[in-house]
Amino acid sequence: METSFCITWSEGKCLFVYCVILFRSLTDVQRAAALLRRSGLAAEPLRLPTALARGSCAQGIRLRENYLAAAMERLEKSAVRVTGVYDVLPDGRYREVLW
Amino acid sequence: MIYLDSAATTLQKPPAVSRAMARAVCTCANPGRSGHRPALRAAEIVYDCRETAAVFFGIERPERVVFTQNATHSLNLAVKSLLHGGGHAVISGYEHNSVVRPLEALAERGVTYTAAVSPLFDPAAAYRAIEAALRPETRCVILNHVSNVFGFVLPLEQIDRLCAEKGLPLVVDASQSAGVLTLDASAFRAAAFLCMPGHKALYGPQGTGILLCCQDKNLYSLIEGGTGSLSLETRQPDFLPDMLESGTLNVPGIAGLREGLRFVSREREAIRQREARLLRRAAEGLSQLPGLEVFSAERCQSGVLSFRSRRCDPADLCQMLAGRGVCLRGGLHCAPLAHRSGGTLPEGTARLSLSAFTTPADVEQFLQILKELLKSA
Repeated sequence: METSFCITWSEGKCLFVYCVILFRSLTDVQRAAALLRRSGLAAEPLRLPTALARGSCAQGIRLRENYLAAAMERLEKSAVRVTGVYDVLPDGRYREVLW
Repeated sequence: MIYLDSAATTLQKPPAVSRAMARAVCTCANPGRSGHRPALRAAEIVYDCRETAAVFFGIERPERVVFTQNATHSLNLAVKSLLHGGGHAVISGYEHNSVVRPLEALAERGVTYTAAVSPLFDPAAAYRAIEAALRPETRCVILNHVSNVFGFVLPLEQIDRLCAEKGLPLVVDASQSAGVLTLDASAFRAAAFLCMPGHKALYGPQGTGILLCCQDKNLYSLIEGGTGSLSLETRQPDFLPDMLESGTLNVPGIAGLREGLRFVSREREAIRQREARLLRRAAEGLSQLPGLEVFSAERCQSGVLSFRSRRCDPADLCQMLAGRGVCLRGGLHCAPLAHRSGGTLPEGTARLSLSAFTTPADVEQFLQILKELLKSA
């Protein structure tokens, strides 16, 4: 199994596509990751390109795209403020997801 | 050595504290500044400590747990958040200089305050004094939960209710109570800030402190700078904890504090009961020694016991005890206002204070050594 930033491949087949959720602070990132992990939704904290945060330091989590809806619901329920959601495209670019 | 100075700092810590600190020094980078593994590890530790503190103190949102250098730092943030625009504050008669000095420093901004002096070990009188000191222009009440001089437990719940009725925010100095007495922020109605050191009864290392923000309005940052967030903006972020946490955090200290918090989360009630038993025994033993005045109460006292000799200055007495390997503190304990209330100015008191690691044998040996010193003095 081979994992790139955006897609997990196995025997030439795409297994998982990833997306990223942005937050305004590291504490929100860690809180979101902890909340999602406890809900069985694996999420990995990471730094993202500053362009995603309109030039500021971008803090976020990466998770499988099929977890996104459940993740957003969980975060909303816990009042964790999300500042952006992006799909990670196979060529490494980001596409904003309106949520 | 017999260590009875835990109100200044707890010397004996759970072994996990120093282990965690050593690990953090070797494995943690700067949290929130990079995406590599050592930075992420640091971020995880910091967040986990924040969350552990939030759960322990009944704070719903972990971002309202702000890491500071000590209780004085926390109190400065709290006091200046509520009073930087001016106004009047009411403080109890048992406040430390960490409250009185920031208020004095704010005098040039038009801040005034009233110290509600009341007799020692009389919670009802403390309540009445605070109520009587309130004025129409009062902006907040500041209360030391437990006096660092006498161990006097002030009536926090009642004063919280009073403040709620009057619509006034309450600042709680929990320096001597956090980790020993119940402190459930979710039960408070008026408490705006709870301030505490990490290095006392939370068993973290020195250089750590916590500010619990029960609300996030009117915050005032003492310093501004890098937070790892909103970096393009030249203005300080206006959200917690970033607004109040500029610059690199004390990650090794926070790693140690996390272990201390885990320890008290498991042991708090046992610690409280143990300290209460030892305090009673110490008070009883001291009261049997001739020439001593002992400041003790059946109720409303926690972890700290003051006494003084009619023949010997408290600082001298503590120095003599230090020569015999007994560690106490003598003098004013940075709280002249408390001594004014307790009637122990100008020389102050000798103070013993306990921790989870104080043993009955420590107390008995201290009493024996003091008895010998008083005989020979």
